Order: sequence, then structure tokens, then C-alpha cells
Amino acid sequence: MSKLEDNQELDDLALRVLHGIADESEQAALRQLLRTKPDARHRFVLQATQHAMLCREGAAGSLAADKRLYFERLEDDGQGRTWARKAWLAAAAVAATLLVASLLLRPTDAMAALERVVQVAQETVTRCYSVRVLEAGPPEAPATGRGPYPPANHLDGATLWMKGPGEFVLRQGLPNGEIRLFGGDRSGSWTMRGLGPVKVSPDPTRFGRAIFAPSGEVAFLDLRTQLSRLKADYDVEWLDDESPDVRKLRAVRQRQAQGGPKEIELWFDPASGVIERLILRQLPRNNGGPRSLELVLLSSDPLPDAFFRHESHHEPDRPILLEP
Amino acid sequence: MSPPDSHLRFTKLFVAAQPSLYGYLMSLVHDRQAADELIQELAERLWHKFPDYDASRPFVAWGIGFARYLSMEWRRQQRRLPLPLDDATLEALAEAAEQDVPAQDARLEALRDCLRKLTDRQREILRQRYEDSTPVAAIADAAQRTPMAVYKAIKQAHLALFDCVTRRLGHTSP
Repeated sequence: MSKLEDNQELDDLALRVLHGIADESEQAALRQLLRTKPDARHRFVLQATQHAMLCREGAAGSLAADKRLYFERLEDDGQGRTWARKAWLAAAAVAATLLVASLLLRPTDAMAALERVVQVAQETVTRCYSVRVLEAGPPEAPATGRGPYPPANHLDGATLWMKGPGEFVLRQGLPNGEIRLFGGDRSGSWTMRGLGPVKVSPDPTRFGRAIFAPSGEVAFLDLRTQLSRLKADYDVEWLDDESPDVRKLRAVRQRQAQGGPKEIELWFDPASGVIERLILRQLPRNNGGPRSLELVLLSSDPLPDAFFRHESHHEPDRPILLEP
Repeated sequence: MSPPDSHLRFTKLFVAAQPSLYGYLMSLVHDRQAADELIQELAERLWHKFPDYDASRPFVAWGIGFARYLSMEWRRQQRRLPLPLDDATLEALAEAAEQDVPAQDARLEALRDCLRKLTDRQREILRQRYEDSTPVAAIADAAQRTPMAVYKAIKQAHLALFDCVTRRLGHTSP
């Protein structure tokens, strides 16, 4: 048998096993190849590795053709307008019709793109963002009853990890050099500061309430809720692309809408729908906190579920305080 | 090192090594669900053992020792395996998988590039199979086709990717 035929046989048997459809005779044939041929073992490992990569890419949504086709359709809209300009030279009336149609469609497309971004943001995928304060609020006295370091006042340089609903970790550096962690997993929430005790509660919003709950000072850090609100309460438009790999939208809060930042700019990857950068301007300041801030995507690589449990962030003998 | 520093360092190292460790697990267990569960367990074990990690060693090489142990343990516990293997063959396969680990980052990058070159049909069949881990038979049922027809379509797309990645990396097929 030639090397090519060997490879074809190995590939077929390997893929049957990896896709769970090999019968016993096929398993035996593959076993024999792996037992006797080092080249077969090497090639099998490469096939298994590619299968593993596709599993991960698939789970991350990277294979979704509809996303790609969807955004290609948006790109086609731009090409259509180019074509329309050329057509205008030959037939102004036709071009004018196309142009008007294009202009009428454009806001709808921006909203549709936003729908996609919101949908992707709802997926159970790990994302890690850095937080930067662009404009601090006026130096008012911090709200009382929140300890010496109100969460909203120490967001510059913080890091936010998110995954599924209720799964987050926010890491803040405090002025005294300590690190404060807020976190939530699917069974509740927790917080710890410096080397102090870990406070744990079955209430998923108990410790992150100041930051994540809709009435909190900086509720915008709950991206899912915030993005969902965008659809209802904001006017959305495309902004010029800064690079072919990134699209940019701007959302301006409607006059009658209450709460949330007045203006949001978001950059997203058209291939994946993942937000890469988000700027929130003119935030409501009921209880302190910054005026404007920026989130920048650091990573969307997966993290284990355990990362969102408090045990992953402290030594085993740290005191645990259970709260309601 | 304070716990938050330690966890950040661990997270950074684990996230970078995760594709390689997951590929290694798949090479030995041949089952997605098992690989998914084992990578979670591996993360927990590595985290608990992290104080013992010698930073002069590559993290992925350190992790592979644990991944190998977990894979073997998992195989011993199964009443039915996707591919039963004798110990000598399994050891030889583990060695081959270990040798392949250093090239995984470049392979993943090439694969992502090659995914863009697939036809829409190829990409769609891979999406159906891999996005929610839908079994071949379920895809066939939904599409009113035979499982063999679906398998052939998946195989064709998989091999197109494999050839593209091999060309991109400038390798000849083993």
C-alpha cells in the first residue's frame, strides 16, 4: 500500500473514531496501525489535535457561518452604495432611489448588528476586560455606609472577567495597596480584600450590588443588561471603520430614556461579534463614580468554571464569613 | 506572592497552555465530553499544585504530566472506550502527542486562517457538528440524510482543513 493510501486509511479510521461512528472492526484496524506504525501515531495525533481545536473553536462560536454571512451582508450594503454612485453617472434617478434606500436601511443595519453583538454577549464565553477611567467624577465625599473604598471610586486599572449569567470576577487595586476581588458564580457571590476574610453569600448580587445591580452606581459593568438596554433606549448608528477588522457603533440615549450613560461607543469584531472596546460617556452619578470610562478586551480565551469560585483566589485556610 | 498575584499568574499561564493541553487530552481520550471534563479537572489540580510549580520549566510541560495521569485514570474508569488500546500503544501515543505540543500554537493560528478558506458548505457542516457537539446521527436526522453522507461531508471539510494547515506550516504529511 502506498503512503498516500496509508494516510487515507488512517485518516478515515481516525475520523470515524473521533466522530463516534467507528464499529469494532474499524477500531481494531486503527489499533493495529497505531500499534505498529510510528507515522500513523503521529498523524493520528495531528487529526485528534485538529478535532480538539475545532471543538474549542466551535464552542467559542467561531464556526458560525451565519455571523460571517451576516456581516458580509452588511459589507455588501456598502458595496451597493458604491455601485449606486457609479450608476448615478448614467442614470441619476436610479442612483437617487438607491441612495435613499441605502440611507433608510443604514440605521436598521446598525441596530441589526447591535442585536448580533448583544446576542454574542449573552453567550457563555469567558471575556476579560481592562477598565480605565477616562473622566473622573467631581471630588465629592464618598457615599456613607460603604466602607473606606466605595467600589465605584476605584475602577481605574481594574480587571473584569465575565462568563455565563452571574459569573464574574472584578479585581480592583485600592489606594492602600490592597487588592479587592468581587466575584460571582452560579451559586452566589463573594468578596475579599487584601488578606482579610472571604465573605460569601447565596445572594448573587449581595456584594457586587453596588457595581452590578441595575440601581448600582456603575451598573454598566453588567454588560449584558447594559447592551440589552441599548436596543430599547438608544439611537444607534455606524461610525467610520478604523480598520477592516473592527466595526464601530455609537449609541446615544434617547431623550425620554432614564439611566445609563448618555453615549456609548463600541468597537466589535465583525467575524465573532465580540466587543473589543467600549466607551461609556456621561454616566449617571447618583452615588459617585467616574463620569466616563473605557473597557478594552484583553482576552476571550476560555477559563474553567472554577475560576469564578472564591476558592480559586485564596489559600485554603482563609476564614470564610457566610452572609445571608 | 500574594494570592491575587498568584492567581493572575496562574490564569495567564493556564490560558496560554489550554489549547495544547486540551489537544493532548483529546489525543488520549478521543471523546469531546471527556476532554471537556478533564480540562476542568486539570485546571483545578494544577491550581492546587501551583505552589510547587518550578517557574524555570515551561508551564505546558508541567501540565502535561498531570494531563497524562488524568487521561490514563479516566481510561481505566471507563467500561467502554471510543478506542480501546493496550498500555504499550497508549504510551507510544502519549509520547507522540507530547512531541507535537510545541507546534500547537502555530497549528492553531494556521487552522484559524484556513477556516476562512473553506466553502460555505464545508464551514456549515463543521459548525453543525462542532458548535453544540451535535452527534453525526442527529445532524443526519435533521437534514434527512444518512449518517454516512453527513460523515463524508464532515470528513471532506476536516481533510481540506488538514491539508491547508499542513501547507501553511510548510510540512509534508507524516
